[in-house]
Amino acid sequence: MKLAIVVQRYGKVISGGAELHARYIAELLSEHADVEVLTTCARDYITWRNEFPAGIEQINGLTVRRFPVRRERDTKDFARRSECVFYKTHSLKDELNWLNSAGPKSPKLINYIKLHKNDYDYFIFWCFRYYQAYHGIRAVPSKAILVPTAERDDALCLEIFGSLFRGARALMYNSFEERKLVENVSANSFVPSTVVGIGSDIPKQCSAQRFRNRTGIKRRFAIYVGRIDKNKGCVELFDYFKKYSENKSSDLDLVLIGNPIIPIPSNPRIKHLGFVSDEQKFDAITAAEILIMPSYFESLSIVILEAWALGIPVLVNGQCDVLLGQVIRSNAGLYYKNYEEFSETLNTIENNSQLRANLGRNGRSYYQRNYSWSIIEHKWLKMLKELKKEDQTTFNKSIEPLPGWLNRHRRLVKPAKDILKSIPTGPVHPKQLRQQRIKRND
Amino acid sequence: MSEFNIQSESIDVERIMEQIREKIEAKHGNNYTEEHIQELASIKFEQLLDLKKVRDDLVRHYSQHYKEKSKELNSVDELQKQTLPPVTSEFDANSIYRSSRGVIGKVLFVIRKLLNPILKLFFNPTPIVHAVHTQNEAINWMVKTQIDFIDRAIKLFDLTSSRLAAREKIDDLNHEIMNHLVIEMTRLSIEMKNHRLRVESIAGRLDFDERRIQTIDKVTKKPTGDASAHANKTERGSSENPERRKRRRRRSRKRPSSVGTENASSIQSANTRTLDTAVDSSSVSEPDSNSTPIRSESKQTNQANQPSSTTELLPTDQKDLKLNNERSSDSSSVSEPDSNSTPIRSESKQTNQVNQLSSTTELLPTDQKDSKLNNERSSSESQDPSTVKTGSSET
Repeated sequence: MKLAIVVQRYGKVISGGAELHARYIAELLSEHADVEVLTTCARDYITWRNEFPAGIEQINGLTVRRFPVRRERDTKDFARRSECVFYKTHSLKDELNWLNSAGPKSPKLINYIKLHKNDYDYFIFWCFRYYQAYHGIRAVPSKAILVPTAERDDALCLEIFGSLFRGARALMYNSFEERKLVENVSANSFVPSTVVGIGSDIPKQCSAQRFRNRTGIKRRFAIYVGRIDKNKGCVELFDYFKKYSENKSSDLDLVLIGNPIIPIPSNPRIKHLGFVSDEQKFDAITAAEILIMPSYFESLSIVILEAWALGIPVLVNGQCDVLLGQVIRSNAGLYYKNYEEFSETLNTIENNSQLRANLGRNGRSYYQRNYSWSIIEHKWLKMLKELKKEDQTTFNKSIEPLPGWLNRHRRLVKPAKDILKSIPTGPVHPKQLRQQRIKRND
Repeated sequence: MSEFNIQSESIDVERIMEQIREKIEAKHGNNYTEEHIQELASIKFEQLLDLKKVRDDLVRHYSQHYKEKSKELNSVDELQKQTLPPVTSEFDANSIYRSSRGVIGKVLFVIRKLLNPILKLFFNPTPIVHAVHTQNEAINWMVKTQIDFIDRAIKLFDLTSSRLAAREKIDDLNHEIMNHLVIEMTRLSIEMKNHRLRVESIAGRLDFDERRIQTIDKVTKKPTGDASAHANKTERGSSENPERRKRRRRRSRKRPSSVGTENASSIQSANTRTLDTAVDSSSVSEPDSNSTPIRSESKQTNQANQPSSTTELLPTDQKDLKLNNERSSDSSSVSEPDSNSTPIRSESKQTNQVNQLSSTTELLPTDQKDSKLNNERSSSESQDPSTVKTGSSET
């Protein structure tokens, strides 16, 4: 079996969530199939500037084909087009223009896919929102497996992506909430899909003592790992934690790991360690009492899975459906929706060692049950096998064609923001999951 | 937190969260957050305004005040920005012949002047010139007046705007003060409510305590009478039914001997017991040679009380005698707390016997008294103490 991984960026130095996910899966599947990576020369996801040389490259034993991006992203143009499609009644043409503006526009990559579609059994596309995924899937719908990495954002509700979700051969979701969201937007429940997610390379020996010796942190602490950004809910976290440390008789510090985009408040209880190595990161998580994830938008938080793998409980933002659902299903953490809840939950976890231990144990078992590499590998191989079976019965899937010139230019499409508002929110409870399974089996 | 009953294996995060939310709600019941107080205050603020009927639209007025003011100020600015109308140039009789072309214009002016008589053949320009001139003067006057008026108006606006700005500041302050007052009032009313509830609960407790004290008093008073009655009954019973007494004695002998070896401290503690309890215990305990020192003492104390009941039937002189004797026996028996239990008992018993004997012999003639005393002393030395006790109880 020959597989092509199609992703917007690829490389060892690229640490973006989706890109890392693609690399892990490519390397995982390479043990069972001939895997090639089709990507662009871009390194920066904002400009899509060509920084890697075009052509063939070997990374960790995999062949990587890089194609140049025709033009860099014009941020002003992109903002203007985003404003148009997200907030105003617009046309399909506007959406297509938005996609071109979003990039990374690489017609050579799409041409290669069209020309060599028979050389590969399946093309696995990452991130529905980018140029290569949209045009690539339209080029080879019957061989396209999509890993949407969808979040609850405006782009998901653009009309052009509805046909994409319905037209792909199979979908590999990261979480049950993501599947629910995509199915609500595009009514694609008939498309074969599974919730896979991703594992992590957890070192066998993590040492809390090593971390404490290295950093000199002796007190108990909660940890946040990730980009320190407003979009990640860090401003709220700082406010809440400052209030908490002032009001409650707590001896818990907050340790931050990651690159800061916003200024970190100068508080003796908040300690920033900057960007650290993986070993240090795992040591730090092991030493922590709890991991806090304040983000509002996550399709799957790898850090949370890593914390669970190490037996550390988590405290997540309950406004994020995915995080909330994960915590409810795993019973391995608590969640908050306002300061009062943040304060009480953190206090509860801080002062109850038994609860902490039990949550951590649940987390570890949840990780092992659902996100260990063997489980992920099994799910991928199972999906590929099923598709292969269908192919043997001369399966040929086509995608809905784009409307004609006039219809494409008609300004009849509702603003994406309005559509998003109408989509129900909330986590997927274990009961709902059981019902879904029964329905799918039926 | 200890309030969560967490089983080792089964943790339900949603249940824990429910408990946490309940806890938060319970907290809110007593301690309102600043946001809640603000919210309540805003409601009260509106109610206050409505109640006082100051002005229904006062809140709206406050909120719109700034906008209106800013609009007014903008209008003044616009007036200042408006360009003044151009002042018309001078117009005289020669104005219609002039030209603005420099030297050529002067030549043209001369030619036009020269040709003026020919022009007058067609029409007379003089009244037109006059009319235009008058009009020009009127316009000039009007413009000047208007400029003057605008200047004055601008000055007036400036003055008014500065006053308005000052007024606005005062209004803002007033609004803020009023808001703070209402917030404080809300807070106070909440506190007052809490205090009232607390006072009610304390009053309830106090009432309960009082009733409890009364009940305890009643309970403690009742047994005193009962006990003495019971004691009499037992005395009577013992004299009436010797078999029953024997049975009781046997039963009481079964009591552990270790009790009898109690040290002096137990005696001391027994001494400190109240009379009521002593009566109570004596009413229950039967006279026994092996009984504890406490019991013997209590019995002796009981004897101090008993006279009042037993001497009721005797003549006055006998009563006095008996009371004296019994008191003396009491003092002798109680005033030996430091000695060991057994000697105390024997001594006290002996003293008791002596007193009792003396009391019984008071009524006999002197020779009989002496002989009886001697006999009884010798018999008391040889007799079992229990028998003496029985005898004393019988007396």
